[in-house]
Amino acid sequence: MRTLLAIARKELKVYFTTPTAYVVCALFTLVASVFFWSFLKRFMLDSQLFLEVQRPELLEQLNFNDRVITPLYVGYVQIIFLFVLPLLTMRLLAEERRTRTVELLLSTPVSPWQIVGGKYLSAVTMVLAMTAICLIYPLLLELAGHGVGGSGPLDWSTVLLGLLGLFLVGATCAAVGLLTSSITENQIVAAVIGMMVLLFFWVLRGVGEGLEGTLGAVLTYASILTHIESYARGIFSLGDLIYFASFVALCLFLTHRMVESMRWA
Amino acid sequence: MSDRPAADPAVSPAPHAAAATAFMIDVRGLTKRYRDLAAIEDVSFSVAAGEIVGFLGPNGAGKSTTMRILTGCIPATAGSVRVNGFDVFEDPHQVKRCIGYLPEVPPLYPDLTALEQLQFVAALKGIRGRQARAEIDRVVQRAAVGDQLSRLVGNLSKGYRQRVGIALALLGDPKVLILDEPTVGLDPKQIGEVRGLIKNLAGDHTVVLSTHILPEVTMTCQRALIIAAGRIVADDTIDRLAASHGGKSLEEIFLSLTSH
Repeated sequence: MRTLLAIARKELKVYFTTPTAYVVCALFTLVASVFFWSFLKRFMLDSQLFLEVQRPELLEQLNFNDRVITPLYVGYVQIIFLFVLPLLTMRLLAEERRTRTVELLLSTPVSPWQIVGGKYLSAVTMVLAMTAICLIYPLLLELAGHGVGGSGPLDWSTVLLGLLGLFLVGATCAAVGLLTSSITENQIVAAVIGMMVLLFFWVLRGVGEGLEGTLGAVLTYASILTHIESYARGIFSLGDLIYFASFVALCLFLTHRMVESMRWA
Repeated sequence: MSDRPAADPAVSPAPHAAAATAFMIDVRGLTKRYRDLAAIEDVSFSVAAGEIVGFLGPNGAGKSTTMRILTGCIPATAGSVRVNGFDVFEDPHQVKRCIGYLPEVPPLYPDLTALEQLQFVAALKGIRGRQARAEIDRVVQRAAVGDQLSRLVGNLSKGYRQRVGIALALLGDPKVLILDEPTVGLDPKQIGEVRGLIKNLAGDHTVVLSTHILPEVTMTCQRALIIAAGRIVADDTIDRLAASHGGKSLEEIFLSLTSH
């Protein structure tokens, strides 16, 4: 466990002593904020419109959860994760192999699980940091906004479950990124394959919904997109949690096989 | 398998029974093939505890490949390696605990400082806390990198990178040191220091060092192993090598053995 933590700490040190972590987090915040602003603007326009047309029942349905936070998390931040996380994880194993520093890990008494676990832990810590950044948007609304009839502007349990869903999606993207980083020495190849794999699991839902019968259902179930929905709507779903956990476990298992094969192939 | 020689010494005698007791490193019939290309072919040798052996050969002869197999970084196609009585393939953890390895390219992370790099490797080797600090102080002094500790490894000169690499191999005071071209990139003064350092390791440590600088072998090693085109062509003490080749210098012996 200590060896695993030492590896994770070293990876985080590299993320934070090089511009990587700062550039990724800054750009992530910038893009997410632009989306946030655009949803907020739309929200304001809609509420003005509903006031003008004298439709108070529509106005009452208008809330920050459904109109700003959920579409922000599910529609956009997820997509940023899909592209950013393979870029963040591409170096984890590919670079070690290219620069031959992997010989250090292979010639010291370190097990493949400690290598995979340590590297993954560092990536998940970055996901956690980015998920935490997403907390600023509901906090801003809480500070500046107000709800109907004196209640708060937000339903926080929905917000927090949305964040949990976001974290799970990020953790899945990181696991895929780590796996693709283990199959090649070339970082760009690792990142591109990672993005493609993730994109595939995203669009799978569209394919599945277009098909009938069992195949359609299976493809829909396999899609990452299917499993974030309940979290976005504020429902805790054990089934979806198991989906994400097994996705991550499978990727880590395959990465472990790849690392193991470096010394046995 | 390993207890059979003890049980019935008459049937399967010498090599393995002896390996378990006397030899620190015992290599038998080691072969590594990349598809049709054989990097090393049927390499066998053994190194006694406390011995310093020079591994000599022209570029591409298979020195680094052999060393990488010895340290468990890559698997062999055939053959076996025992270090300190443990099989590299069956007991890699035990073997890695007693080996310090300096690869051909020092395994350094350019974004870490030299001190962070040493701390990381100490953690990988399972050295913790106060003991780690003491160990790092010790190897820093031995490799003479004390004034470079706060610099990023990526900014160090080649000589200093090589010395940090040596310091990493020495961490934890391993019984066996496998050094792949330890003096590459060093200036003459540093070369002298590193050779002195290696000589001082004799007795307590078993050292295998590879080089293509012949005087290095004469100066630091008791025995030379000459490898050419993936095969061992000579394995003897330097004096006896000279005697058997009619008093020729090591250089002449090397050239005559490796030229074909």
